[in-house]
Amino acid sequence: MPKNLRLKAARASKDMSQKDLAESVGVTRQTINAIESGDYNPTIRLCMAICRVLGRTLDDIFWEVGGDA
Amino acid sequence: MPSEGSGERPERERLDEMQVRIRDRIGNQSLMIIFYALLVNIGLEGFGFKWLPYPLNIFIIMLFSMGLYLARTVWSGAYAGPRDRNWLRISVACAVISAAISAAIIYAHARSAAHPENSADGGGILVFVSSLAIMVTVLVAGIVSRWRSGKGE
Repeated sequence: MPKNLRLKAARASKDMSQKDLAESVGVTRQTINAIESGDYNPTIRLCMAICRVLGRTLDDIFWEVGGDA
Repeated sequence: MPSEGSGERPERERLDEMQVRIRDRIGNQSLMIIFYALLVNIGLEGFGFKWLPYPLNIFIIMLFSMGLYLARTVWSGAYAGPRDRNWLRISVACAVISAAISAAIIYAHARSAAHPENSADGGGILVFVSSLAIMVTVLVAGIVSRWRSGKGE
């Protein structure tokens, strides 16, 4: 699975650390790190929670365009 | 993320979804390990090779499988969840129970030393010692798992 650089960028634009985002959505920092690294494929519920916190849409962060996630 | 209406069991609700998935995978693998270990044990006995007397052989297999499950769960950061609010209470409870078990072991050991005619086969001590080991392991496992699950950027 490719790295999710868009999630990383969206998080950085909100000036949030992985820990901040993890606490906001109720998961461990390890889980956020795994999603960004492409090591874990989150459920739609977690994707939506992340999008709500970051103020983005699912398309913005998780929709794959030509293998870019 | 709250798991309202998910139908998950309470002990799983304190873990996040990745931790639950990791635990499930490790648990399935541990089940297969314990199954094959017991099968090998039966097979060895069938061939006349008794590596340890019963019930110590079963106890060792159980301890090995459980230890492997715990070690892998802790190392994967899937032991303590992000919503663990009772961690301090659990730690104190483990410490108190560990102290009580230690006292019981020391008392039993001293008593059997004083009256060797009343000493049993050591099965009670085995249970006490393993209980103590489990309590200490729970404490250490929680600390290590919280450290592991917090690793990241």
